[in-house]
Amino acid sequence: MTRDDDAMLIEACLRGDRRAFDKLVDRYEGPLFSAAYRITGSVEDAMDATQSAFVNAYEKLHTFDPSYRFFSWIYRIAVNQSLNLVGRRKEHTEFVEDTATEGRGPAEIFDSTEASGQLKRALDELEPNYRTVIVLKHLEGFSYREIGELLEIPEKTVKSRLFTARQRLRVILTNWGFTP
Amino acid sequence: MNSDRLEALLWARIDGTIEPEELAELEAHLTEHPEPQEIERQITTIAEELDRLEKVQPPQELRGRINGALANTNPPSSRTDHPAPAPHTHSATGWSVRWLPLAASLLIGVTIGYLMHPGTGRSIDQSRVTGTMITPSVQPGAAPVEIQLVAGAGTVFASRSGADVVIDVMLTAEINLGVTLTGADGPVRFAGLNSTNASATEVTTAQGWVSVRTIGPGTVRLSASAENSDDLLKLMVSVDGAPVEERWIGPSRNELEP
Repeated sequence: MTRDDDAMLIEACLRGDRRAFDKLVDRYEGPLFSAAYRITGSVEDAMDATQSAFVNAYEKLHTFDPSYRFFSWIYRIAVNQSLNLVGRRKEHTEFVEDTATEGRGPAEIFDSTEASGQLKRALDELEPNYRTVIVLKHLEGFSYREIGELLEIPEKTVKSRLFTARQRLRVILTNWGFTP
Repeated sequence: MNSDRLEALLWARIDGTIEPEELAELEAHLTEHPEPQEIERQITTIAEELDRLEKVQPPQELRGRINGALANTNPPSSRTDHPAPAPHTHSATGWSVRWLPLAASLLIGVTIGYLMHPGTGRSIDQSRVTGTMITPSVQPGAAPVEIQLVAGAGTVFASRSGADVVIDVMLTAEINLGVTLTGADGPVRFAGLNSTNASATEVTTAQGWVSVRTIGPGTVRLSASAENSDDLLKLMVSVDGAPVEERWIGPSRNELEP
């Protein structure tokens, strides 16, 4: 997949070809869902966030600035949708309660090792903003600059937020008796 | 070295962003002070576990849900059918409410005027615009067109000779600029790009439009050509992904004048 491919699909979609947008869904459904799941900690919320991202992108496709990567644009929409869902859910219940029973999701999404399980629970303990930068950095491998563009924050803020997130993660794990 | 500094350097070493002098400082500290080695082991293990996090495959039902939602969604408008810029998310003070009637009137007026007197419509002088606020409508104008970015961050200058168009971007600050050229009457084709100092300069071309994204400071010259010498072109400028200016570029003023 290339940026030019995306651009051609977008142009085709804007000319009324719905199937062109289906190809964009094929390409990006997986990465968007994966990030949304890691941010929300819930399969249902991740599906909602992914679906909303595609619908919003489809509706507003004519406003997309083609000098940017389509993936970055729709990824940002999905991240924002995920954070909104987490924020809304927090008004009703504590996030930790919702994610503690991980068995509710598909079995294959949960890692088997104890360290990974601890890490995921520790990630869930982080504030959504901190969890998000960790997901973008480690799960997706985005650079500081790319994370800044996705979250619309300066690169310096990305660095400081990531530092705090990692520091808090280590403190949580240490308090739980995590030993390397 | 305090613990925050130590932790920052350990993560920078893992990320590959540590400077040589910082690496020397870190290694010297770890040699002289064995106590932080526990922190080093913790951070290394956490980094390994984080990188081991698996991407999660979406449930099969998700695709059906997306398809169903899209089937009930209005298809997007085409760019040329709706030239007004996208709402600016930063202007939360009711920009669209205040300017929409004026924009609509201006657009209708300009369109009618253009249809009745296309020659005079294109000769409106739009030689200088200031600021990065979104203009309420796309404004017609003859080349050359100059757009000044806010706070003296630079300029975008469009000149034209017949079907050939040159966009000169001069950035004096570290901003992320996008420039897109589309045709209202026909396709625009990429002809060339020169860049000095500006970083991360990328060109995207597709059927009908050409787009450049760059990060200043530096200069970029984009050359493109329209299908015909009298085709009307649209120049769109964005900063950090947010549209800041859209301008029509008609044939050069010199070519319009008798």
